[in-house]
Amino acid sequence: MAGWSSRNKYSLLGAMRAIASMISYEFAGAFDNSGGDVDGNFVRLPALSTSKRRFVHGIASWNLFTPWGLAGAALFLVAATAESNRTPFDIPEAESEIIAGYLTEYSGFKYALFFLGEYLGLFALSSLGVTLFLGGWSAPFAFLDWFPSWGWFFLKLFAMIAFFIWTRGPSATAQRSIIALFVEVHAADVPGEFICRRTLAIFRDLADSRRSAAALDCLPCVDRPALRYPGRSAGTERPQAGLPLRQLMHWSFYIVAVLTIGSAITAMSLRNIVHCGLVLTVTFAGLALLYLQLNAQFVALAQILIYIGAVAILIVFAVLLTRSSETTRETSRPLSGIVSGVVIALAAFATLARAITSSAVIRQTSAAAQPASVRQIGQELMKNYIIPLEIVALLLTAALIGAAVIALQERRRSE
Amino acid sequence: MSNPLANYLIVSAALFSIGLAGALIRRNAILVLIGIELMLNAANLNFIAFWRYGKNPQALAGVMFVIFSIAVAAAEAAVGLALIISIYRHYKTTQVDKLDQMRG
Repeated sequence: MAGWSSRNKYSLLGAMRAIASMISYEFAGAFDNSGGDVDGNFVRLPALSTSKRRFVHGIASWNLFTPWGLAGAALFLVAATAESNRTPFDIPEAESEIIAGYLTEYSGFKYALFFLGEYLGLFALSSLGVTLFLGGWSAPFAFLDWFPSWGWFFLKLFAMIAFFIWTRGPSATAQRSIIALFVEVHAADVPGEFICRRTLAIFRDLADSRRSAAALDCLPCVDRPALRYPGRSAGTERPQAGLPLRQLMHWSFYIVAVLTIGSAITAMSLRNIVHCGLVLTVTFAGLALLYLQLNAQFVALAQILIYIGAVAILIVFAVLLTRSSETTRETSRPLSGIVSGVVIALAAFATLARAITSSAVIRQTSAAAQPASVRQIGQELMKNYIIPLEIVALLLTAALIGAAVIALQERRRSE
Repeated sequence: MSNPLANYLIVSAALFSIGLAGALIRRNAILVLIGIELMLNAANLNFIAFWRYGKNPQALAGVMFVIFSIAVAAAEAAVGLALIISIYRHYKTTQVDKLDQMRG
């Protein structure tokens, strides 16, 4: 659509290529994913990883280490690379053939938006691949099982994205005919592979009925980290929990706290506003880590998604949109203004800190809370908090419309 | 330290103060908004910490409150930034000091 509307033959060519490759690779990718979860677990991704969270001789039995899993993973890699338009398969925007495909007429900020979309797609595909083939959040070896599950997931995600980005360098752009050939080969080969795997899976299921029991235990990662933080809260309950782990948790708390506060100070004191917005993401990430340490995984994920994914990006966009004519560097306030602001803030901090340290309520910190599982949160949301939920939904819709109206008003007036 | 809850509360108080200082000192409207966001985040951290170390952690009230608060904060940020962009289009500035048309 973008290619068509920019009235440029390169753009139109690029757009057509994009549509063609998208259709063929969506097809291959979809078949491949269904092959990945063929071992009797339907399309529930969490359940999928669950069934793989076991160890054989100390090595995790991921989908990747099975023959059909390996084939599927290779196919998935190809399909994902093509779908996210990475270099070996970047036919929609092949620089050597058609200048930049449907992006030719888009420059600057709009180009950035296109690429933001592409990289978001890359992230989503990578996490899908991690869940399907790399065992999701499980550790690769049994003795590494102490490491938090979310840590594993992000490590794997990072590795996958690094792979995608690094393959860009050494590989050349494939010819269009080669791509077409690839598509044909895969399209022919995938259904057959699919059927083979299905029969294999049926046999395996007959032999191994425990899997279905494991698959029913959905979303265990939410509950697992409770076992990983014994030193933090359950010290009274589990005195045998190792001292090193407790110290580790303490140190990680201090590191994260210093990181969060330091980046917040930096974000508030830097002169370049773009840098402020970028440092702010570090602050939000630090807060998300603090939530994780407090066993509130769902809130941590919401923090990452909404604050880093939406609010920080919005702020950076707003900065970029509002700086075209004036400089980003603001004129500094008179010194008296800065001093009075800092004094007020310090006074607020001193008051709060005194209240905290002298409070009697805070002394009794013993509760070892169960981590809030997503299921619990969902049930609460649907039972006790249904009216606030609806109100918030309404509010969000109203805010969306309002923001659009406010931001577009001026343009309409000027036209 | 022996008291984890107090640690979290101190971090939260520090964040709140930084946000307050930023909102008071900086002149760019976007940075004022960032300061307000920091203060909101500090309040969220307080909710989670009190939920975690509170007397009735099964109630999930703290988590619920934070989830709603994050949703409202997202709406607030969207509307606030739209306002800032609109103001910028109108006055060609985002410095809050220069928006003094209503000064008597």
